[in-house]
Amino acid sequence: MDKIIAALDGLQYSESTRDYAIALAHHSKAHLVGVFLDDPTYTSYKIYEMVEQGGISEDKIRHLENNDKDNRAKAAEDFEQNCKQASIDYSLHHDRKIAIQELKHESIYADLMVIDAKETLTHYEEKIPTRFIRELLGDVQCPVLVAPRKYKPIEKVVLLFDGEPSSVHAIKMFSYILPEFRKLPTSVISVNPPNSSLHLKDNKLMKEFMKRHYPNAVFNVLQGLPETEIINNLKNEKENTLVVLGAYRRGTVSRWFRESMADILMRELKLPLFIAHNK
Amino acid sequence: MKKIIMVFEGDRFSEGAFAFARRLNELQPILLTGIFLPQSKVKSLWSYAQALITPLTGSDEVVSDDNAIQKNLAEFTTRCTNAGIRFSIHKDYYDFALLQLKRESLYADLMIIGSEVFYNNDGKELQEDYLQDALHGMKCPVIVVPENYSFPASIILSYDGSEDAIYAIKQFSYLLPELTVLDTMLVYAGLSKDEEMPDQGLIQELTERSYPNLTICKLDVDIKKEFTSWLLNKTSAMLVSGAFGRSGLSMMLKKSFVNDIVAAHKLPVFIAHR
Repeated sequence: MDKIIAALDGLQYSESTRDYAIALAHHSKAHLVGVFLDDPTYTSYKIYEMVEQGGISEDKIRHLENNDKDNRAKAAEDFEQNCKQASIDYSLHHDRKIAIQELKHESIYADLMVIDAKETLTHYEEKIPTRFIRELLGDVQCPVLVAPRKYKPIEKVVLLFDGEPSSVHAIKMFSYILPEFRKLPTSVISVNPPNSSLHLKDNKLMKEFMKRHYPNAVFNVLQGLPETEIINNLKNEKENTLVVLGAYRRGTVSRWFRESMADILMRELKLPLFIAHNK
Repeated sequence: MKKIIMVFEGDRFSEGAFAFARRLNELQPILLTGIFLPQSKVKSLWSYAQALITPLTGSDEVVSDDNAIQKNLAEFTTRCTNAGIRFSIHKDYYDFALLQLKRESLYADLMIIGSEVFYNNDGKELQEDYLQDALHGMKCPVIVVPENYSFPASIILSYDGSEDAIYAIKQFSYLLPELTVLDTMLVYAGLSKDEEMPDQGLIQELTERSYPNLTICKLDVDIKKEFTSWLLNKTSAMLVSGAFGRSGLSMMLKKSFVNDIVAAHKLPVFIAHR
């Protein structure tokens, strides 16, 4: 794996994204690109802030704009300094068009993206999972590491497997893109319906595949509803645990009516998530 | 370690495909999984439509198929053992073989197929529909190998600015890093003489580290025919393509282009699509 992109908002700079991206780049000896989404339609201030007694104040606008410019520059500088300190190969992109489109485009030419779960690219507060993240994950062209609020070094990996193609695809992508993590303790979690067997789906094929890539993986088959069982299981994990899952197949109408596992994990847990899907 | 699958129908043994797998194993150990299918289903294997129409065969055909399969299985076992290739065997697939194969490909890193299976009995006419159906349904990249070929000494990455093309270039670097060190040419065929290569900076940033001996080359579409023949003359090259996906965005990489290459029986082709 050679190119990681860190999606960064200069106006709400995520140190967690910075730290996860740098750690992964260092670990994989990859090139790290800090993609600063300098979307001109997005400012830190709202309309009412531009108003003073008597109407819109030109001075105030200029002041607020300069503030934004400064903050963006400071963020880029911080990123650069941290990359230099970590002695990694890096570069910066300043994407000055609509953020979501630019980021999706950048993902075509990247092996991995790192982004903070709370990114909104707006000046409004939003609950996790944010609209920006949900839209990104539906269309992104490379796997994404969704970072929690604070960086913790990854020491353990949990692979979620439900027998669906996207979950196998995610495990494959994870093993190709971050092969160094194969050395970490790894477990596979599956959930079967209540009162059914504890057999792993596609048991033989899955085990034959896993033996090549994660020979020491431990398999846990739980029973019940996936959303409940997985959350209950993962709530006991320390924040150094990375969860790998497939999610967000495009065009799935059911997403509108039923939250995806990725949405639930982002909302309920403080763990980093590696999410990959194919068309 | 990669898990590579190969399909064997009846008593057919693809020398080209096996030789390719053997060479890969020499570079990096692999697990080679042989999937053994009955010959009688050979046409329906690669055609969805036929698979639904063709009734179950009578028991006589199955018995003779069984012998053929056993023979092939024994051949495969011997050859793998002699070549020091770790292997496994999957058999007992009779109905809905293509769907079973799709599931097998989900749990595999790569599939290697000998291109001759896609030809009619004369070996002259490429059954394009079969090729397209087969490759479209597979859940892992596929390497199509002609019977007589040279193991690649260089790589050609076909790039048309589409997401499919980039996907294939990325997948090749993940799955066959041992081949990315070879002389590599990234060829972009634009729409017109003056058209700029899309996102050249981004593609360079993506590929310069995984492909250390890379040259980027833009090709005028006027000389497409010459390109195809030039390509076919590079007898020790391997083509990487995202074609055969159903997105249909590519202008240069219409199925006729890659079909021409496969039809010429000369170069191995790596095909990956999302």
